[in-house]
Amino acid sequence: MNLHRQVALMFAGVALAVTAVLGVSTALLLYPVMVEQRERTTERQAAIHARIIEQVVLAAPDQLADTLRGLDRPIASYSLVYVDGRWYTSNVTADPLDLPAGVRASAVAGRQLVVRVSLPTGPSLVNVRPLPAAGAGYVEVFGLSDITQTTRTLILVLVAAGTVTTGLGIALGRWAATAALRPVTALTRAAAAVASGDLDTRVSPGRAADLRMIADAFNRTVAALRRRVERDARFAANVSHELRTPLMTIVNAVEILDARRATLTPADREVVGLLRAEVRRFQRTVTDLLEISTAPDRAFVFEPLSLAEVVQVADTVAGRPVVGTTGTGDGAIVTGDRTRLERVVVNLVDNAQRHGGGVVAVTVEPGRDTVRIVVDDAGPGVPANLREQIFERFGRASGGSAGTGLGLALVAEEVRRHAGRVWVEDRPKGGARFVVELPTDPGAAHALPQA
Amino acid sequence: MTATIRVAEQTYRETAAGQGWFDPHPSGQDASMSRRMLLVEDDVAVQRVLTLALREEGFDIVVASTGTEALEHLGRNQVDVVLLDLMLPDVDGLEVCRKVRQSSDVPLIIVTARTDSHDVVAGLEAGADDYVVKPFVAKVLAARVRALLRRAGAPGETEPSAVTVGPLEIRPAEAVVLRDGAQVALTRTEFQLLVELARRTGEVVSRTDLLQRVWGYDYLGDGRLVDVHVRRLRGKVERDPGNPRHLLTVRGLGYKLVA
Repeated sequence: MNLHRQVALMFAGVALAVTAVLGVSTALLLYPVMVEQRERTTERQAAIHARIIEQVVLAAPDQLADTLRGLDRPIASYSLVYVDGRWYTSNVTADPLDLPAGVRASAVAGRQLVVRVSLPTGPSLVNVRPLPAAGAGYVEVFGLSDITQTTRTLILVLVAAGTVTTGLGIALGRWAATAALRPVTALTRAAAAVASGDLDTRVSPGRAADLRMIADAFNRTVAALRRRVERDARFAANVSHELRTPLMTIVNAVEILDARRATLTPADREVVGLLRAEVRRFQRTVTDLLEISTAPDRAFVFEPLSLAEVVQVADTVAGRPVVGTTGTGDGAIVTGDRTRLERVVVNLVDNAQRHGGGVVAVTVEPGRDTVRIVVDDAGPGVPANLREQIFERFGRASGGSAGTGLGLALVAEEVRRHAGRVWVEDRPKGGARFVVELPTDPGAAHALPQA
Repeated sequence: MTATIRVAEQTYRETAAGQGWFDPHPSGQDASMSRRMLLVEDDVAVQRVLTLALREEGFDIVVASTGTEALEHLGRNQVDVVLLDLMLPDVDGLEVCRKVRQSSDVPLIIVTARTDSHDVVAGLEAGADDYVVKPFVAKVLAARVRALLRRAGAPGETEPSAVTVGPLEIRPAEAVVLRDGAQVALTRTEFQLLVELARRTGEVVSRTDLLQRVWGYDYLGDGRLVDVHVRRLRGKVERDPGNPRHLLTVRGLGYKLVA
């Protein structure tokens, strides 16, 4: 989960928790308080009514029903009176049988009682008072529906408010995360740019002191990296120049001498021949070594390539047609650097020519997610214990002087940089088979970290 | 390191001059056929050895040790080909390249110490016709130069007199290209490239083919030569080079010219 979402959810969670606590506590505390208040006020009304009814029962029992109906009720209620085994009520719908048995029993027995009960008319507060002088019981029932309704409405309002607050929390969290993470986002982008090779990238320090430290550290690191890369490139260029320039003179001087062989004594001629062969070998070693040591620094030019076209170079190196394709190899397209892949083919064919008794065939074989370049030779093959070693620098199989010992190492290096594999196996009909396998997925090569 | 080289140069020059074992004007060469090459190179030993070896290949060599010297010489004299080392002590080799191209379409080969994409492509984009990588053998360079000059010197007799492709009118015999009736200034290599593509109008021509026919490479030409020259050519013959209508890239295969 990304930081933005985490922060947003955190804000939402806090908002939800706060509103939930507020809502639940309000609902839980408010209802009893309101009911208690209602109990106190009804207590008084019931006491007054009880005294009036007691006097009526004593003085003029025949007016009891009328008095019950005519009682002044500032708080809505209805009353029941139990006298001499009979119930009198303040309105016709009031039925003593609706009352819980305990309430009725208290009224009959002349016990005082205040109780909250659930009646068919809704939640109610029942006040039972004895009328000792009259030997009767008085019951007054007050509805609590309004309080329940108010509380219920309040809860609904609180839930709605909670929902809105949570939504606002998410929005606020998003905004806060974006604002707070802006320097981090900038830093991430900058790091990606540096990783892809843009060493001029810098991040602006911003205002926050703690982030400024990170930004400064980042900028210092990139600057140091840039200096280092430049120094290495300069060094490589200088080494290259310092080695190539004298070689230039040596190689051409030997060629001039060689062109004058006819005028030399046989002994001198032999010396010149030795010199020329060794100078050539040295020249190849130096150029291969420079190539392999600077290869990682050099820019890649990735483009879609037809492997069938790339391997054409094999014919030229072999000096005769050796390229064939299998199946639909002609259409095999990989994403790669043309110069480098041609170099791979050239070196493999060159290797077959020098050590493998001549190249037999070069083919392109398309697979499912890969394409293979297969180079077959007519030599003795490569012993199993040397199959890794020959791809190492100077890891040649034979002690022969024909190659530089770097050709296959360069192949391995370039193939690796194309996210591919290279190996050697036995050719079914004898000889060695070198296989280069490259991914056809264009993303694979780019996904490699660029050194 | 530098001191050691200087001593070696000294010894070499003394040997060469003192014993006279190398004849700067071999009798086998026809003097009237010799081509004049401007060699721009700051290393004295390389100057000497290339002068000796290339004379043997039939070239008249004029040496310039700095870029300024080279530009001065080109301003005053006619040369047939320029061999330019990109690593020069004063001016950047690429700058020299661009300055030469401002006033001349003389065939120009750059010498680079690396096969680096940057060096080679930058050199070609600055107007070079071809490149060689140090260390090279004079004989190979001579072959490259002769290929460049052969094309430049003899606009093939077998060419058709005029080809029209879209808004372009190509007249190989006169070495002239018109776009919408107006003449386009091309270097000889660019012109040759256009002619080769026009010869097979509508067909895909592979890089290998173009390297062989235009640059005379029969071994391992560098496809970037073609790519950069095609880019340069587009800049001159297309109405909107960013959106080419006639000189098209065929992905993975090569290029083609269409009407």
